[in-house]
Amino acid sequence: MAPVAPRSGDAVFANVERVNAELFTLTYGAIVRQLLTDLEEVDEVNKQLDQMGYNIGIRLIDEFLAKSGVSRCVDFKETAEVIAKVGFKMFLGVTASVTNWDADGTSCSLVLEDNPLVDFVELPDTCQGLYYCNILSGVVRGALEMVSMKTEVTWVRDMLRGDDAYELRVKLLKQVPEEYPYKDDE
Amino acid sequence: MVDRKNAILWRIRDQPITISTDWIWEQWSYDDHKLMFGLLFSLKSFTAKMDPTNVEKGNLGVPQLPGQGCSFHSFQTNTYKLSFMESPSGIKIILVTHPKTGDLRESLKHIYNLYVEYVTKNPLYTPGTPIRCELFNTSVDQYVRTLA
Repeated sequence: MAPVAPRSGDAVFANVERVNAELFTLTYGAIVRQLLTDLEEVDEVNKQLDQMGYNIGIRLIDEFLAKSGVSRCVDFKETAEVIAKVGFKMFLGVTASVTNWDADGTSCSLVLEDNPLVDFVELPDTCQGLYYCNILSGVVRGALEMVSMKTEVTWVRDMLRGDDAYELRVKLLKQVPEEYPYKDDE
Repeated sequence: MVDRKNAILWRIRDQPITISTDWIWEQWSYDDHKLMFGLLFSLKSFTAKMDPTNVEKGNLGVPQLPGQGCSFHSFQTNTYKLSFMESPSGIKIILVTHPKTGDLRESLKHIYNLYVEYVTKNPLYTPGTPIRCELFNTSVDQYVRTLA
């Protein structure tokens, strides 16, 4: 039996159930707004968004793997390409490009030209420290952790802060092998 | 079904297509968990070690990094057949069936899809805990019956 070729992000995106983009954008906006009211501190909101994203990511990964048919990636470079081309397309309907590799291939940037989360957003002066899309970095971190890659994901550029694109820096910290659940002397 | 930390998440006595191996699930104890884990772990390790296409092989018994090595998908004895699937996220699905059943890889994938639909998308389910979800039980049960 020939292995099933991974489906492209477009193919998966065309098949999954979708919700109205505006509904999605506004719902996310409402969540951020509520968090700002509840937590008061912008830093806390960033943290909370990241944590929420992480919780989404650790579940999302299984859906991603099951629907896309992607098998194991050989190296981190392939992983980054898959996230950018298949992952973002599948769940957000946009593709990212992968650039700025460092010399030893452990960190790269995912650049998003277009971001459906921020369609109606302007950051007020009081929230200048807010990473509005911090949930995305959490999702990427959570999803990668489930495929045994500990990563650190940070925002480098943000259009809401006057940059020309969204840039997520993904840094591979280490790969964790499968764990032994039992101790030797048991 | 076993998760990435090798904790047993869920199991079923798949009556319709097992004949001889029901007892395995009924008397499943801590030692059996350990045995099953050891069996699968070593088999994976051996299959990767035997791989003639790969020159960089780790030592036997050393846990593998994701993407390393290769894995088996089933083995068969004279009384049963064990089919195995591991997703890159470390979810392992094991089906024990009659030795004459055919290739179950597609079925395993289907069960993985059911897992995604009914378990990971269930907001009340905490990842890593045993699955107690009626909908998942019944849908897998139904699906397994169609295979028989």
